[in-house]
Amino acid sequence: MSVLLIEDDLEVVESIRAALTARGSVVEVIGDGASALKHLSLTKYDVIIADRMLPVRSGLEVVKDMRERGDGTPVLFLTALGGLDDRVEGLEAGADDYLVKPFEYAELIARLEALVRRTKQDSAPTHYRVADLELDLLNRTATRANAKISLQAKEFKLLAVLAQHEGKTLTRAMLLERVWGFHFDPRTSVVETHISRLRAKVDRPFSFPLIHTIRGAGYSLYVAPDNPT
Amino acid sequence: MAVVFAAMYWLIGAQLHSHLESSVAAELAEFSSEWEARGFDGLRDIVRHHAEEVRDADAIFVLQSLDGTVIAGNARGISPVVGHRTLAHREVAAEPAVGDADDTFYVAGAMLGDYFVAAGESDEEVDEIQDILIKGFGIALLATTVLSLAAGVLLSRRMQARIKGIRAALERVAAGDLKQVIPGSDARDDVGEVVGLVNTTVRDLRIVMDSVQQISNDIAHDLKRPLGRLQSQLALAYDGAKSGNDIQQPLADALAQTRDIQRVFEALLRIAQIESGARRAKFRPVDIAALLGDLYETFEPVATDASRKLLLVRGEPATINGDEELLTQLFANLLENGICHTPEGSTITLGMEVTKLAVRAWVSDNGAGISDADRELITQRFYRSDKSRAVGGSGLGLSLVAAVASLHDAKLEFADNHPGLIVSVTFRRVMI
Repeated sequence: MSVLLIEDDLEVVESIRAALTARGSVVEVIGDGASALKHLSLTKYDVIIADRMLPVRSGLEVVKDMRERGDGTPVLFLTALGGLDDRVEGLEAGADDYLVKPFEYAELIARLEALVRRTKQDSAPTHYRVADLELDLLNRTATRANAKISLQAKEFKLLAVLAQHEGKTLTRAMLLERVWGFHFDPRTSVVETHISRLRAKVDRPFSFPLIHTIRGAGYSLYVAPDNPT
Repeated sequence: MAVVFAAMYWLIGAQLHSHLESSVAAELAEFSSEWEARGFDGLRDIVRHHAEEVRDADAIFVLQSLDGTVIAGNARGISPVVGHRTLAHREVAAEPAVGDADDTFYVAGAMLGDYFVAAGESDEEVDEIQDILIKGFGIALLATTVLSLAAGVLLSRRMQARIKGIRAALERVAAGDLKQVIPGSDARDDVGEVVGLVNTTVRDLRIVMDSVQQISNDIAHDLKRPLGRLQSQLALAYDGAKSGNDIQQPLADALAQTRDIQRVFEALLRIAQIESGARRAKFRPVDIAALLGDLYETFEPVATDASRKLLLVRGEPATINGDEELLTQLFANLLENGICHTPEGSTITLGMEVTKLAVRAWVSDNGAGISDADRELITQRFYRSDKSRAVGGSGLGLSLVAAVASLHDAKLEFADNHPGLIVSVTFRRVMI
């Protein structure tokens, strides 16, 4: 994955670069918004990480400018802690996701991978199949091994988000945002409880599990290599 | 005014009367000097001459012999009294039809030789002038009353408009908009002075609020970088430690602690931002019934897993103007409080009721409830009724609830649920 990191805080730059390079990504770094825009008119990347606060031109302006030029490269917006409006402004300007600093690398990587995957699909499909699990988003139906699974609205949404990112890790925060619209960290185990309910309906009655816990990171829907497909 | 008028009325009356008296006295003196100069003939002629000149029956002149026979004049015989007196019209009028029957005459009489001579003048003029005075006063009084009423209405209208403007601005201040400048401080009166003082107070308050917000932002800003570093170093150490190594669990715990610190910062900064009121610009119509339905579906299994029961009292769809994300957090906080601060087996109810103008949503439980003293303080930052701090949480949950409610101009109430606690939030309904 090729990544352009637009960030002027050298400490943040070094740690992000280390984390992404270790996973085999190619990371280029530019320290200000104006140079980044100039550079982006010549080179393409899989994904861009842009800090909100940048010298010369802000991250917000960079995203706006890119989108006006028709550049659809996915952008992950980095915002300051507690910047309630930064996120909304970033998304309105055309960013695809956001992350509040400080963050954990698992969170950053999960979000970047979800972004790259999202843009590779031309239009969002309405039908998903993972092994013998089938999801129809239009009719809101789920079947596994041809047996209909009865799911509540939130459970269906949770399964759909997992299926849309098959094989990728979704962190608790990502699930809270995408399934429940929670942009805060609840005190109770909302995600764990619903994952457990979903497993009881989607995995337990069948021969092999599809929902996996990724330790220290989140959850993922996939067929484990040692299971039949 | 009435006193001034009464004095004027009396003075003018007295003045006119003394004028009357001196005029009558002058006529009598004229008669007397004619008598001395020309004797009876002269006296008779001058009385006759005076009487003939009288047109309006407002003066009498009479010359009579001692037996009462009128020799000359325009009056009937009157009793020969020397000196002055007041006689009615009927006592002096030669013919009753002439003159005004209501008039009285000021009459002065004198003996000249064997003759009695008298001159008198009607006080009709005095009456008329006094009449005019009364009428004039009436008109003046009426005009003054009408004018002062009109001026009063105009002034009070103007004052009302000013007060209205001041009130509207103050309401916005009370709603948290400290950038308001209350109009009318340039007026040079008491109200203007008060407005000026209020403006100064609001400005000072804004400076204080800004600096408080600045301080909490600064603290969080200064601490978040070391916090981030700490977090990443712990994460690296955790990844580096071999599974099953003695150090791995303490590292995982330390990592969890940094997340808690981050959560507190996040909550503090969020509350500060909500209190600034800036989010109001992003208000959209929100259906409270749908929002509560979603939250019920989210927290019902959570409550069940925690051995509590969550019930939903559904209401008809009702729209308010608000920030859906913050409203979700508000009710999520209340539900989580209900789940975390009640004994196992408790029932928590999420409900709503809709009236014509308002939507009231509530979260109630049948747990131990809170004391009256706690109810007052419960929304303060970091306040906990549980002094041992045995139950987790940042102590910021209800501060955030209060901040979000206030942002929405909603009424937040904590009450006794007999047993337990009921927290209700009442919003203004938006009709489409």
